[in-house]
Amino acid sequence: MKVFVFGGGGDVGEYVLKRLAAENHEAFTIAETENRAEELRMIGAIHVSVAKDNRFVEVMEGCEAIIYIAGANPTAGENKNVLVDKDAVAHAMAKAREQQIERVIYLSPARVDESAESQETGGKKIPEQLIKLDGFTYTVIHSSRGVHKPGQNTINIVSSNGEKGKEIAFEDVAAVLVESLANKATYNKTFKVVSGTTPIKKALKNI
Amino acid sequence: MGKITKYLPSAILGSTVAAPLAYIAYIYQKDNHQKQHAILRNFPLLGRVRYMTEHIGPELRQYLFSGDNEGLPFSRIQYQNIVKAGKYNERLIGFGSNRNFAEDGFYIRNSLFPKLRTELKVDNSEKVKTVKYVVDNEGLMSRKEHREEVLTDPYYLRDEDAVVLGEGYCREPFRIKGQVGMSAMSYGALGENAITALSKGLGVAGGTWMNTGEGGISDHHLAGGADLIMQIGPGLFGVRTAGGEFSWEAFKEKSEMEQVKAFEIKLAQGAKTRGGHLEGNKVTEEIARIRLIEPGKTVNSPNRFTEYDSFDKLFDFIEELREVGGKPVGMKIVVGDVEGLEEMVQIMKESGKGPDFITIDGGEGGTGATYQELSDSVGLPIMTALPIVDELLRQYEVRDRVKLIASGKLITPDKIAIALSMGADLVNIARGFMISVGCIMAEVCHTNTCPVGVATTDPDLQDGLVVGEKMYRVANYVMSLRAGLFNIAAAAGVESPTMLERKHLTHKDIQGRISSVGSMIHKIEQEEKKEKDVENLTVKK
Repeated sequence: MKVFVFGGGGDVGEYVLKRLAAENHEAFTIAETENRAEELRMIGAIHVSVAKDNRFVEVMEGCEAIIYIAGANPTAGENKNVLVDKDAVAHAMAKAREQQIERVIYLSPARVDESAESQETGGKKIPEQLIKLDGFTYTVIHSSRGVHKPGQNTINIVSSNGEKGKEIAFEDVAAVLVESLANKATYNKTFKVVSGTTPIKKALKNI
Repeated sequence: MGKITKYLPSAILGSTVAAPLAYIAYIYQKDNHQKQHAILRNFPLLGRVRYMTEHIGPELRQYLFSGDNEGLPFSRIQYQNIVKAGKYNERLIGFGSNRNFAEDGFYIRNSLFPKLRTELKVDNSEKVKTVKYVVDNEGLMSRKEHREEVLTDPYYLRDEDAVVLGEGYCREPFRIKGQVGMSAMSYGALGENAITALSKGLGVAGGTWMNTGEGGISDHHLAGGADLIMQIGPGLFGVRTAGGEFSWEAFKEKSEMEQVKAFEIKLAQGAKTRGGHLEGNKVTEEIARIRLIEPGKTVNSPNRFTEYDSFDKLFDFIEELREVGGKPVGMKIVVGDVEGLEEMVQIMKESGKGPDFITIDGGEGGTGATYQELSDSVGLPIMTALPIVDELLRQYEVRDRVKLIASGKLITPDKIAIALSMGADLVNIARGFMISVGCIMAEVCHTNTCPVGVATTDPDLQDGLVVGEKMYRVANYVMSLRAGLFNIAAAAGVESPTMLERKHLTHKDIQGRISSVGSMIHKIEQEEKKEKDVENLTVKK
């Protein structure tokens, strides 16, 4: 499957690119600089366009799915009260519509271990509402705090927030994103993942 | 029964007082009559305090009285930097530098427009699985910490920046994706646990190498899958016939090993510009098998290869080694005689022969046992030696054929970066790696009684060194050094530490004046010219 990855250069993004390459998907993504683009190609991205070129629309052509890894960036958006660049998400989704891409997997920057209040702060939850309203076959994923630890290939799906201090390996979050691509059980669902003991495939089947 | 209860208390009291008094009296007499120590004859008993405090002085100074920046060869701070990098994979410090800025020294010239992280030419595409410690809570008397597996960035050089030994000159050039490796440390000098931990740690980190030392390739060197540079010293250990001649057969066998990537002929090393000496009781069956010598027999190795007393002969030998082995061949030297070095470089140019790499050991280098006089005053320190060799090679236009490996107390990224700017392609570390596997600088390497089981073959002492624990400290240390090098490269405004040059360096003298690090050779020539002029003047007079 041809998959366009937004945020491919981030902590989770790198693992998503590797995983896609390992599972014979074609990963497309955007990088900040030519140097970074080269690195992402080394990791396994098939086509990387440099952000400056602003040619991602044409790169998106022919893609069948989007994985959007949103970051909570304090300088994003029109002013600093907004932590997530919702305009960028809206723009990307509009382009995806034009390309008739159906499938969208969205990793929310609102973390499981955050308080409900903190999850709302800075409009962190606005973009996922946009995606849901837009009529995509969506999967919205919230995870606990990501860390650079070896992936376990096992997770837990939780129903409520809480479990403070519980962390999850970036590698496992990436695995969940990629695994969700063609997993029908995850279609049009929003769920929360933390590190755990259930094998990823099995955990996703039971959503 | 009655008698015992009656006299017991006074007997106990009597003996607790009388016995020590008797002992003190005995010692007093003994001190007073011995002829060895004047202090004890004049001040019996009391004089013993001197010997006691002298004995524990190093420990007291190290832990209690010396300042953080005091102490040699490495200060407390330098030691801590290595340990922290290894254990916590952490190089951050608080509240500023402890360097004495009033002293003279080298500084990196930072660019006004440093490179962004995203602009650095680093290869972090493969994360490395390692183990580090995380401090949960630290109090005065206790520290709560736990160990955890993490994925870290290895900071490899990009493929196009990789340093290649012997490219275009031998069948199997050695490509290295990092600039820091382990200097020569033999099995025997270090115990099997230390060598195994080093091999495994370097294997985990990748992009590095391990020099076997002249003691040959042991199973412990091979244990972790690290790339090896086999050193051949004048004792020819591991590549000798029973009669002590060079064995081409043994050499061929070694060169066919996958893990062996290059060979290094040791002409000299910083610590010992003398021949080696291996005491018979240290020559165990295993060491004898590795070194191809007889067990239990004392071996003295000469301070020079007996057969090779000129550069022509040496270079022919190198050619033959390269031809037979197919792998890069280098040599390890200590710089002192600049004219002799110039002759060598001249012959390299004229004959088109010579080593694929030159390891320059600074006079300050050294791990194991040596004599004080050789250690202190024979051979130039690395920051003088390295630029001289680099310049000579450039002057004779052979620099592109030879890679330079520098060593001599280059244990932190800043020191390494200075060496790279001075002309080194790669850097060797020995004592930094010893500290990373647990060395506490007890300075007893030559006695086989190393208290932490690093520089000893004693199985009881080695029991303290747990391979599964220390190997990750080695890996973290080497990866943190590489990360630090990229930090400095970025600050200097270049994309990779391979691009550091002299122009990125400046020297500040004790009065605060700065000078660029220009040509050393030029300075020597100028001095010579000045002397000659003075001579001419006096003759004319």
